[in-house]
Amino acid sequence: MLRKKQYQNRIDLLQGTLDLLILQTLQWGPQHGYGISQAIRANSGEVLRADTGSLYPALHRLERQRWIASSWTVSENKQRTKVYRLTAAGKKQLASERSRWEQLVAAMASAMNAAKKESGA
Amino acid sequence: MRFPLWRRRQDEDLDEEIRNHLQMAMRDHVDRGQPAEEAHRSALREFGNVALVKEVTRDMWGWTWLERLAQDVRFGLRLLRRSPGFTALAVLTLGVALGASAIMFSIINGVLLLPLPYRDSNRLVRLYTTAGDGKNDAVSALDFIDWARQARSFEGIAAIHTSPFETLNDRDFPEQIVVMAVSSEFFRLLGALPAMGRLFQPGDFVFSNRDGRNSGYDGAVAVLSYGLWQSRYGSDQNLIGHSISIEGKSVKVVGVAAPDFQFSAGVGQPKADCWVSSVFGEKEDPRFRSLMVIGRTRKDVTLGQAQAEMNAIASGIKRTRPKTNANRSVRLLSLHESMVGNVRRQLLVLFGAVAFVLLIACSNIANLLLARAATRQKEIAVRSSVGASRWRLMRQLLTESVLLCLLGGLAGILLALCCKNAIIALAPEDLPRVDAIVFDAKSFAFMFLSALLTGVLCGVVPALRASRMDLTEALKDGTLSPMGSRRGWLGHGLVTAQISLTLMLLIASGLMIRTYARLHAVPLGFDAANVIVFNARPPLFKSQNYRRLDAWTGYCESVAKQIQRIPGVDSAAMGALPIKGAAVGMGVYVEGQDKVTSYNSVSTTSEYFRVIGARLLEGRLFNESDRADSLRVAIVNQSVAQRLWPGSNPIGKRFAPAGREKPANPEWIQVIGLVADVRMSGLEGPPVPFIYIPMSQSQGAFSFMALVRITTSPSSLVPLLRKALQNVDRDAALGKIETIEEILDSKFAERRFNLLLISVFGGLAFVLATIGIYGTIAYSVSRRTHEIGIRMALGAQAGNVLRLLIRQGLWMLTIGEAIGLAGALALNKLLSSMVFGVTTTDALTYIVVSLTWAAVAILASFLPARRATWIDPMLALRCE
Repeated sequence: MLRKKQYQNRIDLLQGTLDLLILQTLQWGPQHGYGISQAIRANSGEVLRADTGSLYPALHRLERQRWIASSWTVSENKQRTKVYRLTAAGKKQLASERSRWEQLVAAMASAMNAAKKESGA
Repeated sequence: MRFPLWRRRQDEDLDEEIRNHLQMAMRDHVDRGQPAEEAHRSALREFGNVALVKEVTRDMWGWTWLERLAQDVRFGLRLLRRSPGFTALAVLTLGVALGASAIMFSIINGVLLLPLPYRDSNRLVRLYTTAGDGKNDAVSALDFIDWARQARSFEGIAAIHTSPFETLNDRDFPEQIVVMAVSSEFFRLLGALPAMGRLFQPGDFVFSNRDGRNSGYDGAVAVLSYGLWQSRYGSDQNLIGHSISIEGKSVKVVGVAAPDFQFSAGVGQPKADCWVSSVFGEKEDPRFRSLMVIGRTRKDVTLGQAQAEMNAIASGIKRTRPKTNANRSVRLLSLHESMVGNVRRQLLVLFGAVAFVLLIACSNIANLLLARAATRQKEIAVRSSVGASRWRLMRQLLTESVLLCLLGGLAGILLALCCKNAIIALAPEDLPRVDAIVFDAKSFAFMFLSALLTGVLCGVVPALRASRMDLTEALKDGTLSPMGSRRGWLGHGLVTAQISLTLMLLIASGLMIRTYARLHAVPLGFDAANVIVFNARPPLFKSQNYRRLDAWTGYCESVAKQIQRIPGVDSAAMGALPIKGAAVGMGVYVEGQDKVTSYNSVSTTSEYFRVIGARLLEGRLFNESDRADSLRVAIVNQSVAQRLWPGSNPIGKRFAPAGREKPANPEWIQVIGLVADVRMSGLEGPPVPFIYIPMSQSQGAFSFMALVRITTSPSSLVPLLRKALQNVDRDAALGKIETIEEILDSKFAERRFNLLLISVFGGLAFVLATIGIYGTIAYSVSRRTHEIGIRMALGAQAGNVLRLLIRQGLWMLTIGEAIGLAGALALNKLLSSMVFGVTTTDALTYIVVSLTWAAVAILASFLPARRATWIDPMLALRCE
């Protein structure tokens, strides 16, 4: 019965990151949920795995925030599929999220390096 | 209830989206060479809990809590519909308990909680003087003047003197009215408004009585009550500025008070027909305390601060006027408190009783829900295994119980609306502000909240319990937990609580019933049927006519004679009322006994004993031959005879009226008759000794009450009675007509109200708790069918099984009764003001009630237990 709680924990944990990954993935064009999860997996070299229990809530949340939009299309094998695409607001959001992410990474890296140097010295 | 259309679309879309996801995943697996079957399983495994993913995704849409509530409510309603028996029983149980508490609340709301109908009434206070005995006493004019001059805590204080039988002798016939002589601040303090004309202003309060006494209405002006203005003056618009005649004095009417304005000194006190402006003079006798004083504290002054200031003023007065005020202090009470203080405790006791009933109903429902939760174990297990969280399950279960209680509350409101008028009709007349009892928004809010609270209270334990169960155990084909399970423990605890609460209520009802029986068993000594009474006071303002004693006695005898002549009148007399008679203390010096004792005495006309139906035991009654100049005679009652001449016949014995000392020249009075004790004042306590003197020989102990035994309806006599009085004196007014039965009834009313409510609550508790015990045992029997079957298959006799099952009930009973008795003893002080003739620890009541209750409880557990012994072991083992 704790399972739902675990899901929620993971959402919390991945919140910003998963959103960023989704937006990043959609930058290359509209994609359905399954496609997004596969893309994240493939692009991260099979390291990152977007849990469906986090992915779908995130997709629906981003849609509510109007960063992505969805529409139903018919796929090559005649199947009605829901595809998501990036909106203009989403693109802006992606840019800012991305620069924040890069700042964070740079900051983390320099902090880690500094620590390394110190401990090395 | 349905989700909006767009919402359903969204749900379907989500379903499809996830279906697509799974299909695509499966296709990928197939592409990688897995067989279709296996690919499907892998896809599902990777995906995780479909229902849960949907659930958390839906959370992102917002408003889901509301939808879930709607969903839970719908589900709950469906469940309730599916088990109508359970639903009906629960709703009825709750309806009765909630309805009873709603009625009780609306009474308390009307009597205790609603503010008095005056502006900023929370700052109104009443000021009493208290003597050494601590009793609240009225105020003398001099004290009032001193207080008004010195006190700074008040925006103002006002004095009120009530004269309940003043003669209004204008228009066609005289009438008795209640006149309140009030000081200048009266209307302003209460924030009253006139319906017509004006209220008092400073110029109305001129000190015109030469002797400085507040009798007489010289120079006063009057404000009429709206009621008097309508009834006597036919809503005459032109009355303002004209005079009416009160006690022969012409008083100018300056205004009419607003229709909703009334004032009375307190519970059961007369309400004013008319207010006259009055100055309370310094020359009043300072020993004469007859004023009611009210005040309005300043905004920045608390009651405690005002009390402190008045304490200081009172000790100042002690020094300046030690003669009259040596042991006097001042007590402040809020006006509201002074009016309802004495019933507060009774109402709170009754409210406590109803709370007990509600608790019992609550535990009954909790028990039912526990039992039901147990039978729903499987459903709940399934729900939780597909991913419903514990909180979600609890919310579902709580929604159900709250729903149940809200339905119960609805039933309760209907019940309360049906019964409310009956209850109010039974309320004693002197229950203060009984007219303020309404079923208003506050009562509804109370109802709603208590239903909600009840729902949570009786649902939370079963919900906690059910949502915490062990999944794997529950899913394993619902094998039943054997005896001693925790659900059993909890259920039994609830039943034990019910038993003790019920016992406490039953003991209280028992005490009330005994009180009422005692009250009814009191020998009255008179025949109350067909006797009307009214005040037939002579117009005292004609002082020149009534200066001499014989003029008064002559008046009384003539009135009795005139009334006697009316057709439809059997007999008529002037004298003291039974039950609430006024009497004068008379010092008695008995011939041959060297001491003076004081007894109540009253003067009566000759037919008095015939009218009230008193029983003559020895000697004779008064007759025409007892004149002012004949031998002085008296009739005594048994109590007097027993005290003065124990063991001997009082007829022919003599005594003399006396002051404190033995009289120098005794004027002997001969006892000519002995009557059985008549209840002259109240029903409680021993009968009071009474000496009756013939009116013609009266020494001044008057009562102006006329008593008439009639053979027709009282209302048809009114004009004739009025005429009879006017034949004696043109200005004699007919007072309000009551029957002795009414007076007697008002003495019973309060007890009856308490008795009725407590007994109804006790009865409800009794029924609910009996159902509770029965249900619990029956349930445990049904749960243990399997076990009992095994026991019987192994050779247990019916008797053994019965004992096993009843033992459970006996344990609950023993513990419950012990707690109940202890509780009743602990709370007995609360009832002390409500009982009469029995003590609140009356052993007989306690024993009889607890034994009876024990017998019923044993029966309630015996019946379902006996059913267990009919179990066919083969069937029992095969079931499940």
